[in-house]
Amino acid sequence: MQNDHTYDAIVVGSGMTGGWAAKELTEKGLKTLVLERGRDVKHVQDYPTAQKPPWQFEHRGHLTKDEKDQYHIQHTKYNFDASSKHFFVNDKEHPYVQEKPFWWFRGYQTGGRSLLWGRGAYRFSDLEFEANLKDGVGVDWPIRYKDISRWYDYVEEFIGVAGSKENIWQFPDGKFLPPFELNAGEKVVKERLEAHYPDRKLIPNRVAHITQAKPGQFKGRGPCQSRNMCHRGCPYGAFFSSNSSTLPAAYDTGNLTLQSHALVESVIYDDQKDRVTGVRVIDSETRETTEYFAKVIFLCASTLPSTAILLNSKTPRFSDGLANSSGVLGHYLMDHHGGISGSGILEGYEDRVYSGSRPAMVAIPRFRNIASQEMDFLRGYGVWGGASRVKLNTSQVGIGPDLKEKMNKYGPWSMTLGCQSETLPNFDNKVTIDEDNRDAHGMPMLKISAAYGDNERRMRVDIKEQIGEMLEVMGLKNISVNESEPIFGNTVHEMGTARMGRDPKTSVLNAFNQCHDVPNLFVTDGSCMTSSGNVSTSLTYMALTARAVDYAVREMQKGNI
Amino acid sequence: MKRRQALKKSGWIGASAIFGPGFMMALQGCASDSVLTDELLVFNPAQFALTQAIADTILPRTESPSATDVHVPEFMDLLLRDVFSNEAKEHLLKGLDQFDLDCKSVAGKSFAKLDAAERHDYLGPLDQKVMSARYPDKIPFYYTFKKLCLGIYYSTEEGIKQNLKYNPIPGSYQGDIALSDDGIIEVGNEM
Repeated sequence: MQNDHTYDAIVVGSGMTGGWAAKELTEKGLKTLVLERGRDVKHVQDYPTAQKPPWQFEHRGHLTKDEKDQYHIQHTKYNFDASSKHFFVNDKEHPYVQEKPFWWFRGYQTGGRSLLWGRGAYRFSDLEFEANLKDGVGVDWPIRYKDISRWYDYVEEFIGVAGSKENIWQFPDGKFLPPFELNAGEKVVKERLEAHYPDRKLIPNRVAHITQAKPGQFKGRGPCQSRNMCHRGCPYGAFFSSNSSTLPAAYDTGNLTLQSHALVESVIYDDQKDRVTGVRVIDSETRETTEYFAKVIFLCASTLPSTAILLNSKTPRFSDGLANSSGVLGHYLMDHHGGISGSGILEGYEDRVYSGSRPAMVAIPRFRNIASQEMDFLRGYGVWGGASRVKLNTSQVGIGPDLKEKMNKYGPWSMTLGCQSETLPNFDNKVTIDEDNRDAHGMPMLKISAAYGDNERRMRVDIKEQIGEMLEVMGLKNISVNESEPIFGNTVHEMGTARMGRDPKTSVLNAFNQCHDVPNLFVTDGSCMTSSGNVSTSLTYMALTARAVDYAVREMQKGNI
Repeated sequence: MKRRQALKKSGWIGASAIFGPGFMMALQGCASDSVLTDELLVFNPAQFALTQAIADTILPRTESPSATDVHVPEFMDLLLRDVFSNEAKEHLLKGLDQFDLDCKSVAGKSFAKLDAAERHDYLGPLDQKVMSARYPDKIPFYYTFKKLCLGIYYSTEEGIKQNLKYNPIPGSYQGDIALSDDGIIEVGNEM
């Protein structure tokens, strides 16, 4: 064992959860190696497009045929364009096998997808943590809200979450900074919606943005400037990313080493000690293989890669993948489903407007199956949306000076609604590794097979009806509601393939994200999810990560790890 | 203005000023030969002249620049090469040719040969008819052309700065304020 390759802890991945693991481990005094498969991206200095106006891009907002070809999946995401494409993988260079349609969105760089996320930051409630137990689909979560709430507090206070206190049981309040205010149009439709439905509220969305900062509070990060260009990297550090927040904190301790271009091939397991001892790494540029060693290992590579690393780490004891005595590793893959949206025109109120481009929507938290099972589907969905003034309507009638005058002025208020919905855990939705198909690094490709089921389909009927009904209740005109077939992966909330549970026979991880089978191996990214809920999951991953590190270090101090 | 100058103006001069020589090199690398050519890329000269004529009838010079002042036709030419599928490109080019044939049969000469008032009189009713309808399937040439023309115009520096309130760093979001008397749109650097 070489000394310079030995650390107290290894963290695989530098994104949303890798950054948190790094921060917590280093702040607790552990010499920590973070392995990132992609290139290094330094906060601010590696955001080359952050201040560029549209006319400085060769094709401005248009995607070229070549970009659509190289990034044939990535380019379909709303925040992919010439200003952000350097934070997405080139699909041609990073193939995988779709046994059924699965769109996999990825960013291989320091910070991973924390540079690209939608920034929605929500707490799970006991509606989520008890869901599997109550309706019997999936195994019971090994934790409840009381186990995680103080970790939500802890994470929120560090990352900065803008939001409003609403006292909605199934949508727990947090430690909020001031919310992004509702605009004039939203205030009108909120009043109409809430007057009609006693069980629904339209509230400012909860997002990981700094809206107000006391001096020194967020260490060099400042308030949002309302440019809505988050996906280019924020030069103000206003939204939370690993790059702006957790990694700088980890560097500050002097205990962090971050290795770029370090693709983890497998985890090294010692049969005698019944512990993992390190990882085998391929340099993605030189193809050289190196081994690194540590007392504890955190897999934070994001759901599919962390699971693939375990599947690829076969030993005599674990012939189907490391820590997989249960046989569920790779199974129960979930993603939220969306793709139903609607819009309409709010007449009047044209003397009111807003200033700035708000990087946040409004939310109508879940209202189905709350107190009891009342619908013909299990679980539920939330609705998100927003009002804005129509700008630069290029389909309007007119030519000449009159058209220019019309073009330059604000149009009416338009209100849109969309959904994000829960997907049930299903054994058949899975990721495996395909030994016969290997990528440029000689790694087996991931083979993904997942589809939505009857429960999701029944839920979608209700979503479509309710979006239409709520637009009516809001008093809108020219209402249209659209539905597109949901594609697994498209919500970019893939999760669940190394789930937490109470029973080692039916789950991979325990209540502290520790592998049942291997005590010094932790998985804290989306793989750990036992059910999906309907809200975006990053805040939960971050809270679980901080909680798992706290537990791991205590166990190390006790000599159990 | 020649094509090279046009693209310089709208493209990489500003970038180098902001980001320095390193970034300048990167941008030249990816900008490829479109920056270096004075030639039309896809349009033939007649199509280019026709595009200029239609674009300037939609967006004439007023106190703000016209479509050709900010090189909308040159940029459309670039999009035809790099962005449009072959099918979409053919649709637009054939549409342009047909547009002119129609103009000749109705007005007696090519659209580009009409004077400004005649162009306005010819295009006005056509615009009214095409833009009033909605197209679930097949979109007519003029509908595509006009949307493209307006979209490009309002992505240029002068198209934005001379028409709208350009505010790249708005500061804290204000959700409910009185509309200014002129009612002019505020925009930033979003694409």
